[in-house]
Amino acid sequence: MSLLEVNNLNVRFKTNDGLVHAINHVSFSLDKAETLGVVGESGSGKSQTVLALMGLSANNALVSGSAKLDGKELIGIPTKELNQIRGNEISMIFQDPMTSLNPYVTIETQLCEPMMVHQHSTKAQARRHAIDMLDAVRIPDIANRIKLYPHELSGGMQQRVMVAMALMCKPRLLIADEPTTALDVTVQAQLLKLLQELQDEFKMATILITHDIAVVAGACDRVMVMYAGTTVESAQIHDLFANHYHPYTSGLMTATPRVDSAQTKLQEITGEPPDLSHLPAGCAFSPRCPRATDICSQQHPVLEDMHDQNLHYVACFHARETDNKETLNS
Amino acid sequence: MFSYILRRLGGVIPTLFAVVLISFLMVHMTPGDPFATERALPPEVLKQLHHQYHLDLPLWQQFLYYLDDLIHGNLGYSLKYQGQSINHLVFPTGSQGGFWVSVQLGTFSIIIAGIGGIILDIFSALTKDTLADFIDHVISVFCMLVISTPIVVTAPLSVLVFAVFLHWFPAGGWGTLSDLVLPVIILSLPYIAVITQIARSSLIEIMGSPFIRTAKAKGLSMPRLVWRHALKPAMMPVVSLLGPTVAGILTGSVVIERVFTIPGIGIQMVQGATNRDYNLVLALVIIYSLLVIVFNLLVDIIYAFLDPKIRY
Repeated sequence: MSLLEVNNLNVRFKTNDGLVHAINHVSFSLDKAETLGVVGESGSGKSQTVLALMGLSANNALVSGSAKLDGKELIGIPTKELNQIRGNEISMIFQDPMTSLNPYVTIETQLCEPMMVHQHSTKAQARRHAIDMLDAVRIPDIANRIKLYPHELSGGMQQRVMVAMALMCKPRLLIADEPTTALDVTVQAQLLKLLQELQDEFKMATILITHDIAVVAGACDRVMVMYAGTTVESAQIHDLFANHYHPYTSGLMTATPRVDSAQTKLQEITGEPPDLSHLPAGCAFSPRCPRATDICSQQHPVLEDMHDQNLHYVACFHARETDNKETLNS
Repeated sequence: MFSYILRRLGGVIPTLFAVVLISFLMVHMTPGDPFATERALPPEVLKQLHHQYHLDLPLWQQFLYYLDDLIHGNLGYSLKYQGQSINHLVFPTGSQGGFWVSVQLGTFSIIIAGIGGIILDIFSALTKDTLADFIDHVISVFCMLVISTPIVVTAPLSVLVFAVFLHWFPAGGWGTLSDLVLPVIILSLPYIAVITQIARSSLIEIMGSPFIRTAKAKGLSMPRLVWRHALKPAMMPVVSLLGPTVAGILTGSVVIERVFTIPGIGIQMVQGATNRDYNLVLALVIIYSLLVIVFNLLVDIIYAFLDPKIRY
């Protein structure tokens, strides 16, 4: 049985301009110790998906569907029950460590909190464990730093503190929401490597959200590509890079700079992502799609297995027709 | 930190000098004579009195005399209650009136305003956009009502309702705990409302910040979230409100002391001004200014204490 089972998850926001359909019928599953990469551009619903799992959606959100961690439902349960799971069995790392750590509280207190709350350990026990965790995330000179406030550490160090904090209770699932976006490139690579090592060490499943498909390539087992709140393609990582069927996935691939090719100009995906309060009737990508036909603007494509033994799912009417890479690059 | 406080204290002296100079000039420029009574005094008596209080000297000499006394801790002699020193009027022995009474009134009012404001703002901010948001609405309406009603209205009204009709509290006087209730509540009400409003919007902003989301993701309960993570940052704007609040409570106490017949310096201020008791008015202006200056310094120190990013 898989660790996390998400079924038909929907997130809508009530606004003055009507309902915003942020997440539409998203389903996926995650095995123990598996890493799932979620990619997509800004506003594609990557973050909203995991925030809904954590019960962190905004006040005006309507969340429906199901998400089960080891068979236990997460959606719609009382906050009190959710509080026993989040920070304990599921932990989350956020995008910007500078604003995600409380600037008014020492890192020691922030680190000790999850253990004291979930395992009812004493401050001394929690502090000892916090020092072990800071050691695990390779923060040098821990003894002198544990009393510091977040602003006294660099961005990379702050994000390591976030990681240490997320691991305090040995979670079974770690959600990393663009953990490296706010950091500079060299620090990004270090942090991703660290996350991978920790994942092996702690045997936890990970959801890694990123808009950088290159990050996914190095770090994940499976990839889910999202567009306008829906899953458009989902596959094993090697499989996706070998054959991608959805034109949006192809677009993402060609929009990523590569060191090993002579290509000097990046191929962009033309157009803008759709307004989530007025989604097109058919496929949400159809207005930007080079291969769109009449059916695309009339009906929703469903996620279909491509039957290539690798559980490769694509939501596109034209997935089977030709190789998308060729058409887009020509 | 210590050197910062010292430097700030050094800055108090020029400020205070300016206060003394300006208020001295203003008091002495008011028309009328402090010794003018309905029955005119004989000219030779008047002359003698003027001489006794240095009022026959040029203004700058009077000012120097006054400064000299002030530096030696002497606030001069009352022009009205002849022979009484201002020091004795304002700081009577046995803490039975004057400054000590007003300090009690003011301190209780500030504490009630702070505690009341913080409690109301937590209820208000946390019920906003929830099923219980009527609590937020009720508190908001209460705040608007209280802020827009001046204490010259609320003070006599409260005497009428709670003292005259209901007999719950005495209508005035000073000495027992029940004497304190009405004046303290009336004096602090507008500041409860102001603090509630400022702290509410600040707490709402903090509750939406990424670090609160992190704290929620850690599975913390709501009380712990507010107490450990949100309240301290949300209090920053309230702390900066402390300076103006103290100034407002000082001026408010002038009205309150009069309505509730409390023998504090507020009442002395009113009497001093109508009697043209130059030295009394001057002394009280200096004391009020000193209080405002000290509290503003206190605000900066509390800031540094609350916000780890501020270090002097």
